[in-house]
Amino acid sequence: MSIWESCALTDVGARRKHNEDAIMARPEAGLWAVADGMGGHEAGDKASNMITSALEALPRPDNFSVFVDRIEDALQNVNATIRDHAAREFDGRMMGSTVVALAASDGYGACVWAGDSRLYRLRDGTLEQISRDHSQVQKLVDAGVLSAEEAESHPNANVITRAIGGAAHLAMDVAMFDLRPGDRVMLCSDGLYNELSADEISACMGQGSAEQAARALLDGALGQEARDNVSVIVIEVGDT
Amino acid sequence: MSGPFSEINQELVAITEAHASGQMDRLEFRRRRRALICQATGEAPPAQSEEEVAAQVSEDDTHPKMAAVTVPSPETGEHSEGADTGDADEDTGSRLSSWKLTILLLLVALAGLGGLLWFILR
Repeated sequence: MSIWESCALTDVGARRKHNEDAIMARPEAGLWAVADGMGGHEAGDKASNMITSALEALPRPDNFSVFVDRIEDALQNVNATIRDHAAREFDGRMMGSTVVALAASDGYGACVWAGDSRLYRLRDGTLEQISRDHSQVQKLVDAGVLSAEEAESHPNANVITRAIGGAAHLAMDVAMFDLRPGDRVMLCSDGLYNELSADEISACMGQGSAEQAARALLDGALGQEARDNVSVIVIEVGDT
Repeated sequence: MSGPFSEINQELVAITEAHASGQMDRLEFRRRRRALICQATGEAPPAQSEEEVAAQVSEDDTHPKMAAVTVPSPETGEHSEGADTGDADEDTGSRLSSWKLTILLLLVALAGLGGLLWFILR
């Protein structure tokens, strides 16, 4: 398997009192995840931590397609647990989390996600967003009603249409993409990309080591008075 | 998304939407997604998933139980009646045996009491 150099960082940000994000990095298994909890203190952080805990314990099967199935199974179990917990402990109030996970192997990766946490790949200085937000504005962009630029400042930009804990039936989206030595992959919560432009993300991701890139991204978001929690994982694809 | 997997990703989106809207069941969705991912990775698709095996096992389990409960044959009924009769005879027999034993014990007790009274009063 490829050698992965990765760095995972999370910060409460400048405005929030609690960090409802959770991050998970298992380079030995080729699995990383960012979860962005919703529902307030003791609901959002619990939901996001349930997700990362479930993925921490996940064994990696030999077949990659079965690995993707196992990731989805784990997230669907968390979905049921969160909904049950919200009904019992929070009188049915919203408790949930977005998630974006990377499962990687030699030459390829799978992005598995629900919600608006994102996965980007940087190759030869070109940034590409692999995940597509599950959000109202993304639907309008897909329908050609809004441009990507208009979507960023749209008043419903933070309204998501899919999340772990959001509905009894959860469908995870999966996107396959190729990986080459020297590529960098970045997983993040919306607290990061809402503060930095695509050009700024690209510039930070290209810096030094994976750790230096992750630190530059986090510092960049914090330097913009980060209104939300900020989480970032940078993975560099090494030689096999 | 561009790149070598763009067609595979379009099909992944299509089957996920079909599954999410209830047009494709979970087993079929998983089978087709595994095939698409294996097409991307160059791996051989796994022979049979655990849930597919589990679904077959539960089907196998169901049939014999249903036949035994819902479709009893006439022979089974006759056999059952015979078995019931045998059980009744056994019950009657055991009841008679216990009465005999009780009377025998009473007789022994009376004989013992009589012997004791004769020993004291003689």
